[in-house]
Amino acid sequence: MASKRTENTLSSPREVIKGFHREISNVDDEKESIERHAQIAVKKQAAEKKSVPTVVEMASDAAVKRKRDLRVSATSTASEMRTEEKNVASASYGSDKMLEVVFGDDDREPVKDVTGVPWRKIAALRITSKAGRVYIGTGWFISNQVLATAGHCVYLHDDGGWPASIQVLPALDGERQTFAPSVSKTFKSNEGWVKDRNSDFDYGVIILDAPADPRIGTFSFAAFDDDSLASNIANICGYPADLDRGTKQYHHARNITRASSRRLYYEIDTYGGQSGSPIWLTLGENGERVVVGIHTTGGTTSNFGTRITKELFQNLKNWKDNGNSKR
Amino acid sequence: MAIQNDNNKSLAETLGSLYEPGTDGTQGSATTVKKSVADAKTRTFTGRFRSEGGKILFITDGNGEFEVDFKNPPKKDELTSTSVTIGGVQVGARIQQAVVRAAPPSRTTKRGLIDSSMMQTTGAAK
Repeated sequence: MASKRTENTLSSPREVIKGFHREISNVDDEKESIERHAQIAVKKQAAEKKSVPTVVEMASDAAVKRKRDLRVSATSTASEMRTEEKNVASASYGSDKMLEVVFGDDDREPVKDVTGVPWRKIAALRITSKAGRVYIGTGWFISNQVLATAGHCVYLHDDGGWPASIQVLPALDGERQTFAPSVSKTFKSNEGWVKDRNSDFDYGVIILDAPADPRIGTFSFAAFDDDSLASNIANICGYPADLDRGTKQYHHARNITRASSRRLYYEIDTYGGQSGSPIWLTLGENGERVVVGIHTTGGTTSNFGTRITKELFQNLKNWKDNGNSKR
Repeated sequence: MAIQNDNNKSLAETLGSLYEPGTDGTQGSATTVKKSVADAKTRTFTGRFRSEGGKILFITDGNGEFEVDFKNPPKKDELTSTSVTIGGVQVGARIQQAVVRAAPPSRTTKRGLIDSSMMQTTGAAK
């Protein structure tokens, strides 16, 4: 879709984000949808008053309805049969494009103690689309009630848009759950991803109904410049769908090979299911982990993620600060 | 603004409004980075030794980095070894400590670190 919108320049940290980064939530969309349907119903009623349908038109309507019912029935059956959990990227990017590459030998290592730092701040996601299909993804805590993730974890372009629900499983380790899971139905993303399907804006958040276990903690995050990102070693940890059916954390670290204005490129081994994982650097005297991007995609020459730019930073900060508010 | 290795400034001071600090929850933190080799589980890493600033580092093939503290001055053949076993035999038997440093990445050498607590959980060093 052609668009003349441009990214705004922030003059202050609290400025409202506009343009591609403008916030969109499923709560807004549902309100909008209800209003739209109400308007359509009013128009339809007005039209019905003007004209009484002929017998032929009524028969035609009935035939169309029968056909539609048959299609719905077939779709329902197909979705019921597909119970296997899939990589969430396939619901927006298509499975053929979603390579999620392991480069050379697979260097991903299982995390032995997921209750330690920073691992417990990472959660497995079970994303249920409106059609009932379940996908695997990864999220990470920015507050005790808000998890950052990929946009395609909270808005499934090829499977109904906003999901019906997302189950959040902090520090899931096989069948062991140290921290209580929760189910969310409130998601936020941005116009660039939801309206324009632009992978440069592939990020969003999951808002929990109640704060998660206070023992979990939250990740630091920051918008870094090119020099600070290029060639530094980044870490990615998430729940790959090809190992242990997405129930165990795997970690790998390698250099960031390139930083574009909105993406980070690297040869860190990943696989589908790790979408939404934090990309972090280890900095400072205390080895603080600072998230600089969100893993989203695989490619033939490198994997990449959405870079935390100042606009994205501002959205994350707003969502973190207003996590208790559904709007 | 590049991140400078300025020990007098915190990350918050360096990064200003584009940095949002996190927390480690209430279950303790993983800031301890030293552990006696005797207490470490056995694990072998492949890579190469490098001497830098009077310290001996072991750079793993995955670009991880240990600062290696030998019990006695290291022998030449030890420093040409391409593998190091922490907590076991080989070069590791003579290693006093393997320290996963939590230092800022160097902009001059373009070298960074693998996550230190990953090393802890695999038993290499604490």
